[in-house]
Amino acid sequence: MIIYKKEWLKNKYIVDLLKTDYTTGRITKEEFTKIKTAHPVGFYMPGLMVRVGLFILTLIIAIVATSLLSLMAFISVPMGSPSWPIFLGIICYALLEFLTKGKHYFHSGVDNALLYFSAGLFGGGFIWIITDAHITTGDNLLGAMVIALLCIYLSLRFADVVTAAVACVAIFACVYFLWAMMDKFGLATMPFVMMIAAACTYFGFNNWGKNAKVHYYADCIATVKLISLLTLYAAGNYFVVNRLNNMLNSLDDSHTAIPFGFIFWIWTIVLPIVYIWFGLKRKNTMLLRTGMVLVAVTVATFRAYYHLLPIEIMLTLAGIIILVGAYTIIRYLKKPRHGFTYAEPEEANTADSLNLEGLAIGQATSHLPLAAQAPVSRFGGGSGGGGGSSGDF
Amino acid sequence: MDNDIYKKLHSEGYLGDDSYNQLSQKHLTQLFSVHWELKTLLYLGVMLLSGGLGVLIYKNIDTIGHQAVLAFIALISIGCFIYCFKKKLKFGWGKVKAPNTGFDYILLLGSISMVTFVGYLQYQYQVFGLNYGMATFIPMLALFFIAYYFDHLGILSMAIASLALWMGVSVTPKTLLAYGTFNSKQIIFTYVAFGLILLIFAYLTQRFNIKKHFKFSYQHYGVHVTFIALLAGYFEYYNTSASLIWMLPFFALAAYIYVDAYRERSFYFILLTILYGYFALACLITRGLYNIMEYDAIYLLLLCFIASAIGLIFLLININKNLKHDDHI
Repeated sequence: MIIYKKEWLKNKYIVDLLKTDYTTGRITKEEFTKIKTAHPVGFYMPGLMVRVGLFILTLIIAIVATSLLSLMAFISVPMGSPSWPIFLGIICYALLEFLTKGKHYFHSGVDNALLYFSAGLFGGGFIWIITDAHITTGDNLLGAMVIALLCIYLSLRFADVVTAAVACVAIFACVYFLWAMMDKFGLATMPFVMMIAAACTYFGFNNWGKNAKVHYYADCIATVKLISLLTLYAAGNYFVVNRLNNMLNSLDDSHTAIPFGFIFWIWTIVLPIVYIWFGLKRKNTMLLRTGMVLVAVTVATFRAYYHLLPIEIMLTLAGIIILVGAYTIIRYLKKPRHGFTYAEPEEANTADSLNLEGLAIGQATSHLPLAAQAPVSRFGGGSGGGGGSSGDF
Repeated sequence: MDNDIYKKLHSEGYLGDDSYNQLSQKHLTQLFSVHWELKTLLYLGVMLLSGGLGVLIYKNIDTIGHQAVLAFIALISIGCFIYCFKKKLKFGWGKVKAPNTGFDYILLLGSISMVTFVGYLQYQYQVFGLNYGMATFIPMLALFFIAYYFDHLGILSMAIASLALWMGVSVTPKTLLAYGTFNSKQIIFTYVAFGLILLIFAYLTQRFNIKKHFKFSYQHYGVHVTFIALLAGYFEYYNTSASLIWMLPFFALAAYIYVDAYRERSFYFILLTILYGYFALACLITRGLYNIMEYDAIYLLLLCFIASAIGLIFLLININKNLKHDDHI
């Protein structure tokens, strides 16, 4: 199914694995070089910046070329059939297959651009067919199913995370639209069905990911798991359920009560804590970070309904609590305890070398009032700033 | 899975016994790092606290009084700087590491509150009178000094921003594009001057080996600002033949940045040059073809776009191949 040479994928996995061991000093340089030469990876995999450049340029070419073809084809006859985008999609896809097979491109920017572009053309074409057919019920479901099938195929063939993410979202949409066809009962039980679907997806993919044979899809599986975690939370989030309930029953947003509301409040508050708990227990970064983000979402949800404190006092208190908490944990983890450490992670990843923190500081401080806003005599506003970055680009 | 690989590599003789023993014990000894999570929390805490306190003071200014607020801000700032002066490592012209994790944040807090203090003073009491240049110039000098003295890239960015403010422009690419402040010739010339100053700083940083790692920040802002300003100048004078004069420095600069980036093996700047250059070239081709053929040019034009983009892809692939041996990002 997968288009890439399996042997190379395996070698890539081995080399990547041993590379982290080499950087952390667990193996010697000679050993690493020996392993690297014994496990050749023939893919074309340029660095991040080159990939970005190739992606942008390929996308420009694809857009300009399709407009040129469309212009030539429809100069006399009016545009008008969904088979045209599908035809263009086929050309694009054929080129993609040729480049990945013949030139061994592996997520190099060019193939990513072609993949998304052809997927967009196919998807657009199929949706066009469905809209043209004027089906009254179930057209959403049909559309979601088509997108899901398309993206599942592309993900399996090219092991791409974006198509995997779209496929996952489309499948959840399928479940939603399918269940929504059961009218009143369907709508009333919707959150629970979505929760079950998301939980099943998470655990299913979690188990599947442990299988050694699917390591080609490790990134795709991680993406699907992340989306399932988020869906699992959103399905029971009070705000989401409330708004969806209002929308489906055509009520306005002043209605804040929902049947069995307490269940959803418990879900909203407890689930992030559960994520963090399991993240720490299993030493799972994804669960931990998702949980941390969702705590913030929960706070925002809570504030949308109850105003216990004025916002500034809440901000100040939260800031103090977080600072004190983080500081205490940092002090506590000076020496590693229970398998946790405050030391920087061993695997150097690209995000660190981009120095995102510097960029964030620049952006965040860019709206500081550097001095009194001058009247018209000076033309600049009171803003500016930006990010520092490390020198190793 | 991983252990099976290690076992296989060991039995095939690629791994020595020592290494294999270490690797097979890896999952037992490996620690789980919560470094980034905690750092994010610290950052979030600083942001929430300063935001919350800001609003709190703003709402209660009548009861607190300006002097008290000013004194409070000054106290924070002075406190932070005293801490930093005490803890800092010895100054050097190379890269100097921060003595501990909190240091950078405390320095940042001190600098932000210093800038706020000066701004507040000017806003409330007009210390500098109508001399707005002075009001921005002094914090700028202070920020540059702090950035160099304590070796802090984030504060260097703040200093560059305040240099821009002093010159009368704002600097982040976001603001550059979002507010579309290219409506006057004066602004465009200021932008060009500002960008060139940054590029000269970048060059001097490299040439005289003064905090070499600061070069990236200067070059990053300098390249964006200068390119965008030159393009803006081109469009400002679009209807006159003077517009083409703007393209000369544009391509000269592109060539310089390209050569410099190639020498430094920096794909980031190579990519920037290629993309900006492509855009400028596309503008020129469009203009040229339109002048010759009017609306019939569209096919040729699209073909030109495709051909030039394909050419650039091959160029990029080629550069990548040549620089592969030691590729950074």
